Amino acid sequence: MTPSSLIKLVISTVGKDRPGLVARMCEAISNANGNIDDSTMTRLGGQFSMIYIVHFESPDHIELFKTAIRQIEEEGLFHVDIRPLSPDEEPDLPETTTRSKSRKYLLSVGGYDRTGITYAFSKALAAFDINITDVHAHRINGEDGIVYMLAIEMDVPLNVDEAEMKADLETLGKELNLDVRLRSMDAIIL
Amino acid sequence: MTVLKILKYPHPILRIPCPEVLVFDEVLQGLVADMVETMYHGTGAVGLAAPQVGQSVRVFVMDTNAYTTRDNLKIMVNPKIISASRNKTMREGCLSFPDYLANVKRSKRITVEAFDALGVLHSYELKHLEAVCVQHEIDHLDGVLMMDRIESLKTDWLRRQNTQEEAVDSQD
Repeated sequence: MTPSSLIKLVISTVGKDRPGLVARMCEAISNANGNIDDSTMTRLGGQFSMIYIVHFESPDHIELFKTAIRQIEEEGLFHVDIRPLSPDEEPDLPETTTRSKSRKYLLSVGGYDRTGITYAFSKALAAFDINITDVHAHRINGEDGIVYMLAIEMDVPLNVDEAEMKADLETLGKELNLDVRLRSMDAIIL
Repeated sequence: MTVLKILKYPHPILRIPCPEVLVFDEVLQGLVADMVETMYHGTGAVGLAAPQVGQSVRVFVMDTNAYTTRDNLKIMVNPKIISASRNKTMREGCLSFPDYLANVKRSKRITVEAFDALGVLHSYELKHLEAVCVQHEIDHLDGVLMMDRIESLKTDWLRRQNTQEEAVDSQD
């Protein structure tokens, strides 16, 4: 089996959280000889979401998998979206050199909830061509109302001026009356 | 003594570095007594810093036996860490951030000097939970919160789920 003959699927699911969802999904993948390359799973507001990148050895195995998924959907456990991953969508291999093309930062934003917080900050980051790699955002109970906590992990291109980026984000925080912290998360390569 | 209201994020006082205490008077001693009362009043916490009750001064109280024997009370005014050992990752919770837990690297052993409420200087050699507690509370006095200490969003920033998770020492 050569790597080029493998067929990769992106599988996204969401359903009401309950015990056994991961097991059902992994059973369907395993019974079709699928191999999970990458996955992320989390609970969001009572829903459980899973995203998998899975490779299968043949179209027959994929059909077997899809049959199992149809049964899961008929049981009403969760909704599943499946699409093939084309070769040009293959993820970059992990950085194997110490010379990175970007620096990792964590932006944390918190304050009383209002519409447009994530939009405002994601737009500001996009203006610097910053690539968001992970986001955690939640509404929590605060001192005098609902607080929105937004944490963004991101890859910042080397040509972005840190002081300028920090100033722009802090200005945005002041405009929206939000607590804004930006700090480097770069690992030291020894 | 009074049970004080605990301020939660994003109250701005939690972000202000606190000035040192200059006068060791009955006002300070009253604040300390109220903070001890508040810490013991069913908060489930083993430490409480003055900004968490709205006072921007370098004072905290701690008792790592706060919800058992209550026999390990320490009052620290103008605390200074004199020496610290290598780090260990601990899982922490915070009264001002009740919805989250964070994995934070802290020194396992520290030597800290601090005044008590009467102005007498003490030196403590602390380890494990007591050492972590001091570092967490001193962060409060510097306007630093748990989220400022995490190293990875994916692994270190945890939302408490429906079942109440306890902050425990873990992950050496």
